[in-house]
Amino acid sequence: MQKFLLLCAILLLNWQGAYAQDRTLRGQITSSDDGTTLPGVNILIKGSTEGTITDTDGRFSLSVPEGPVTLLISYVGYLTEEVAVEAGQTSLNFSMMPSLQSLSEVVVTAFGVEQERRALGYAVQQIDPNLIKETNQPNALNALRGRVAGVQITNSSGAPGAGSNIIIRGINSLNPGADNQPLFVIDGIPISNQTNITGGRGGSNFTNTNRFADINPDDIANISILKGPAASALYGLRAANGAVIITTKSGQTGKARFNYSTSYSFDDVVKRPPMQKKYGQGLNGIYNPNVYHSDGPLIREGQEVYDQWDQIFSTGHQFQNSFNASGGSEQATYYASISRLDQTGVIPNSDFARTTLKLSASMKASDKVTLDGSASYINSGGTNPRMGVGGAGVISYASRYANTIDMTDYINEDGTPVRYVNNLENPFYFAENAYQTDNVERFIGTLGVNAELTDWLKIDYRAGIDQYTDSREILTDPSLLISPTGSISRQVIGYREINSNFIATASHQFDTDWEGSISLGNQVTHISNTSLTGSGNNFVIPSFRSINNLSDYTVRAFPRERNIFGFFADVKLNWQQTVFLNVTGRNDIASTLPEDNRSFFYPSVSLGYVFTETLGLSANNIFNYGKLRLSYAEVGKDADPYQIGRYFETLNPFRGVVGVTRSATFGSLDLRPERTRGTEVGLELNFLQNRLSLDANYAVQTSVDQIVPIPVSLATGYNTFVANAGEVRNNIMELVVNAEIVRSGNFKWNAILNWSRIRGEVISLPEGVEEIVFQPETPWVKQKIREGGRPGDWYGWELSTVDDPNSPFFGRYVIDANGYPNVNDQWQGRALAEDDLIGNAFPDWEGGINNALSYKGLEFSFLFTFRQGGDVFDINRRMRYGTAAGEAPTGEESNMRHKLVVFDGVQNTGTVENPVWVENELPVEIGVDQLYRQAFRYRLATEFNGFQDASWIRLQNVSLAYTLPESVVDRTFFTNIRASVTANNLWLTTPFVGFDPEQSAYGPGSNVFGYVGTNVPATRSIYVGLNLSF
Amino acid sequence: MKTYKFIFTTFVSLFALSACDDMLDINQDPARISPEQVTLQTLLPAAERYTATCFFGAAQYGGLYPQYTAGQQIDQYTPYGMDQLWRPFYLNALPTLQELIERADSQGARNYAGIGRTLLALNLMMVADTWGDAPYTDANQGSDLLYPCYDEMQFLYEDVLSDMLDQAIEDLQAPLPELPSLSTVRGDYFYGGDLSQWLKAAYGARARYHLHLAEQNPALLSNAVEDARRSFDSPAGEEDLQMIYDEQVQNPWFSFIGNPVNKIMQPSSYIMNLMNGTGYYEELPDPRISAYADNGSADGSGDYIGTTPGTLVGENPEVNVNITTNTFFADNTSPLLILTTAEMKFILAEALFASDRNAAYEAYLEGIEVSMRKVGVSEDELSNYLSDPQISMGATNLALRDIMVQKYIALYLQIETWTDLRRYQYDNNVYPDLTGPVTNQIDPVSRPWVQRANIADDEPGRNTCIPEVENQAQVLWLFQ
Repeated sequence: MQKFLLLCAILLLNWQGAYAQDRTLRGQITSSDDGTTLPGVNILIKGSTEGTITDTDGRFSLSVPEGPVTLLISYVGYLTEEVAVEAGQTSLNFSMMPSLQSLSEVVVTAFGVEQERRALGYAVQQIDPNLIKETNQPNALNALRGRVAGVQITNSSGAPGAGSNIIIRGINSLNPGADNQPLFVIDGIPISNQTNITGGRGGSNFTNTNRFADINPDDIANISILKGPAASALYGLRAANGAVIITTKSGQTGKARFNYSTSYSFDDVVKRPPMQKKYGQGLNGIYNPNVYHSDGPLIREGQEVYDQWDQIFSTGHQFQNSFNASGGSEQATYYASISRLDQTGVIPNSDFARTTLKLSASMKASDKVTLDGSASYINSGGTNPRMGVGGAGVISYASRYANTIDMTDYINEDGTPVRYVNNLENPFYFAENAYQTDNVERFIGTLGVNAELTDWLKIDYRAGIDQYTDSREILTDPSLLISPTGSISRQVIGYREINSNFIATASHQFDTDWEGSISLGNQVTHISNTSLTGSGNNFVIPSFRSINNLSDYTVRAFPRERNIFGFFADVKLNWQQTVFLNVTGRNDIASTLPEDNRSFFYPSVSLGYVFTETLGLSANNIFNYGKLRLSYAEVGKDADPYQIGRYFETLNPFRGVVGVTRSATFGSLDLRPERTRGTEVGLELNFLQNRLSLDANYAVQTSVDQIVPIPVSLATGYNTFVANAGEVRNNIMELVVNAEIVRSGNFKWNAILNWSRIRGEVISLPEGVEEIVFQPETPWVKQKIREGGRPGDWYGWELSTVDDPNSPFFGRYVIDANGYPNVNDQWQGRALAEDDLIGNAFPDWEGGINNALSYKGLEFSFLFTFRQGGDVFDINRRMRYGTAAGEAPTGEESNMRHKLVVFDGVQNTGTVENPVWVENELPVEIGVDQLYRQAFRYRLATEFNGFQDASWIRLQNVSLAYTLPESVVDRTFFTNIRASVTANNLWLTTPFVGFDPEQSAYGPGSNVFGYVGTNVPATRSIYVGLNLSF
Repeated sequence: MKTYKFIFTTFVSLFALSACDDMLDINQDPARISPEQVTLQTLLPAAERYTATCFFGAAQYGGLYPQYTAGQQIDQYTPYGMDQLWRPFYLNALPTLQELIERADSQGARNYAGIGRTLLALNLMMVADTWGDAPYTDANQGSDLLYPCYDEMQFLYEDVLSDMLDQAIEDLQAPLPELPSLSTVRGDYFYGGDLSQWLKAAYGARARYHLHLAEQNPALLSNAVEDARRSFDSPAGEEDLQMIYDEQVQNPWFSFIGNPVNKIMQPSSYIMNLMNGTGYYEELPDPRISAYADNGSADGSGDYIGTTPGTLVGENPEVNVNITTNTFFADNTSPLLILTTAEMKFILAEALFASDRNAAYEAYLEGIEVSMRKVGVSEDELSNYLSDPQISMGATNLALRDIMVQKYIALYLQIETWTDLRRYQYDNNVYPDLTGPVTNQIDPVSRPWVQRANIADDEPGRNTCIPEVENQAQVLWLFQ
């Protein structure tokens, strides 16, 4: 669209410039970057209003007065230059230096409106599409990791097709079931990034995909992240958690261009928990063929020992192919693409495939009216074995497998499983007999019309549909221990979202100083979901895997529908391109709220002030640009459908009778919209002619009147009461530094650093509620929020220490009479039900540094991401420790096993009131039982309660690419040939012992963070790629 | 001006077009039932299922306290264990039963109301026996009372339960409602709408109640006798209040530990020793033992070695018993017992022990017989066992201990036995050789018996009106 407008402007201006009198200066403007010609460059004769712009080939002709003149040559994204033209000179070829992106960068904001970054009064971060492409990540969301300040992206697992979770500026909901996900918008139309977690929120058994992963990364031209409510206010309630705005590639006028790219990867699991190789199968030091534990006698010399991880993990592969064609005439342009991804995982029976087709076109219906449309079809899905927080998962079984048993010997000739004990499943057999397959068919279509009614008024209308059907089948074979009769569940999830956006924008230049515009708009959103599940058990014929082969069935359907009407106004004013004011207001009417409260209004105001203009510094060589941003905004938010009032539901049929029961959740009849308020202060500073730029931001975001399912005493007859209550505040600091370190001819080195610190605080909880528990894992691990606490706070038991500061034993561990340490001050009679704050799942701060170096056709870039703090709980630990297959982080564990140790601490020989402390001298045995039940949470683990610090420094991405020089390419059929080698997750350093701590046991879209170790671990991927243009 | 007008009209018409109320008045869940659509016939089956869930839930871990099962940490008296009763009672059984009773009362359907009150009384009595003080007056009020306070146990027993049971018995004898749709009770898993059976069950519930309350007022023993005599009297427990499961909705003991995978608890050494001829009944194997425990042998022969309370499953390799699908209790289609004929017989025996030894003896023998037949013991084995002098000692030699030990065996896996134990305060004269768990987490030194459940795990932090409970060794009012 931008290009089209540009073209119009070029034509118009060229026409005007036909009245040459004096002499005609002709030439061509190119970019110093890559020598490409630049269309639409502004050329102005200094001291006059005469000028022109370059045509599509970068050529211009301009009538200039006789005698020497100076030209001002300017172009978006390039440094404005003054060029002297001597008397009599008639030709000028000039090469422009690109400026640092941030200065005059055009960013895409709400409703796809492109604005100069300069004019914004709030923080928006835009990602270079090449950065996305060069990571080769099939899920484009993963490519953003570590590149955007204030945005936390967590890949839930290393399984093929695994979803990613994105959180912008922290958790702002007290609702354990809320997803905190931002709104995703493609070409102006919202699309679904839902993750339909199998088993609903809290489900952990299967790998699920976030639906944005359906988008072909190759189609993306631009991603821009609207972080705060000020930026996203116009999108309304669905963008209360921010918005991710994607612009896709479009065709360009000119001859058809084709591009083909391919890549192939090698994925493997590098970081693995240590496993012990000292003791074989058995219990308490004695060989026992009937237990699966690795707590038997010392392994004999010559006895075969296996590494569980070597056995279960193999090398996975991703094979990506993408082809696109684009081009067009001056009347119409088109872009078409087709892509295919095939992925196999690192564990058995796991794969994912995605095929996408996209066609988009834009057409000039008249001088003033442009029509555009696009259609995408996506087919994605795969197979992934059962995982999960419980014991029944491939990783869980593998971590318990005795090290003296060969895991790969898993199936008998007759197809029955090989089990070395009768109560532990073989991971290979399990993977092939307990899995989910899913198949998504998705269609996304948009249609838009843009009309410039007059030179000051334009309207834009677009409508879009995003519709998909996700068919899933979960199979549990009757030969498995977890399901002696076998079960199959088939689920069909349907999603349909229709959006209609209308905006009319009037703009006006009042005088030389004042300029302004006003937009009025209307947005209608309709979302309907269906979910139909037919499940059953009892296989009739054991080998026949079909839903028709069962004897008990349950069918359930849960349709949902939600409509939102939004009306908004957006007023922009600027003074001398120096002060920018933006005021918006939006009113939403949401179907999910009670009639009296369903219409609600919220405003935003933002101010940008380029103070270097006032100070006259714009030409300063050292400090040339400085801008201050201020904003305040509010966003309202509706509820989920059907939250209000009370309902009854039917129970499963039982002996031919169906009973009804009251739903355990009921909702307040006067539910109000919840609100997120954000205040933001930002500063942009550019130095050294934009070679160094800095963007710092401080924001406070408060969510009040939250719609929360308040946990109530079950004695009320309910479990949760949905009402407005509670307040969460996030303090956000973000910093982006962009530096052009070297810019000399052929060699360039650019570095971008981003850093953010997000600190959540629970200001208030619903009245009478002391805490809200998020998905408890074990009695000694709980994530809860309390007033004054932070989202993600961990509560657990601390080791008891002598707490009397006057005692000479102050601070020493309290040891019980049985010789093991006391926890949670139990010796003083404190109940285990009480616990203490022991950590937080969210990092103190995190960030990334990207370095991009290029020399001629050779490009090299590497991205380090880092995270400081954040405790995670490794669920896998208790599996591998409890069965003695795992080795302690210190390596001490297998050396101490079955030996006597004396815990370092003191025993109380007095009373609770008057303790008399004596040095503990009681030796106790460290057996596996004690190791798991006692030492596990005490001494031998360096970390407390099974929590570990998950700080890390990670080499997230390294990419080396070579573009063949033109001299070579010219002799071929191609216009561009580029080969690359890329590695993701190449190196990681962390104090965390276990798999890669980047994981999410409860999957993307879950509000529960910090539980890891149950899913397929993150992989290291190395890609070789080739890109051909012709 | 024209243009402004155009914009304005466009905008307004878009507004009018789109913001139609039809698209906004859609917030009624099509997948769930509104309160107006609910009927007595659909509430009753749910109420009965939830009652069974409560009785299972109480015994699921609560069965570790009377030492039916062992090997799980809760039998070391960790502060957990009875949430499996709290949850289904307050969240499901109580609301469904109160909804049923309320609607039945307002529709004059006293048949439904009587069934509802009988079941509610049985549930509430179990809740009171577990926690002592428990919410009732304030309970199930939704957002009107978000912080329900606890009624005292004495109030629950002396006021609430007594009224409820009397009313239930009255209701069940009242004339049937005239409406043909209400006159026959539908959706009744327990008795298929047979009100005469329900009346016996209501008397049975009141017999249990009177026996409990006789702790405080021994005069009530005669009421217990009277009620028990009007209750069940079937030779093999055919009349018992019990839930029979099927393959689709399986017996919860099956799902919990009956299935082949999950063995987190096993029959305890105490119950096994009472039945395997090594304990109280020397050299007298109990023919019920193979219905109670599976020692892996095909014909039920061989040793039965249970788990010592306080130890964990797997600790002692000699333990060879499990509760499996081969037992009477944990097949997927096994019945779940709530109130049985055997219990009535033992209530009679206990209540008559002081006043009428002969009748007590007769009831004691009948109790054993009905319990044996219930689990499928053959008449030969039955008479064999009964003929042993340790069992048929004669009325004069009958000791309270004999009655209580046999009741203990007969009520296997029922939480009611925990109340019996506490009524006698775990007295070794009544329960010979009963010893506490080898690890006692309430207090490893004084090693008290567990007397009550801790406050439900999810109450603190949700309810601001919770009584102080020092620990589970605190003796409840009824047992003081």
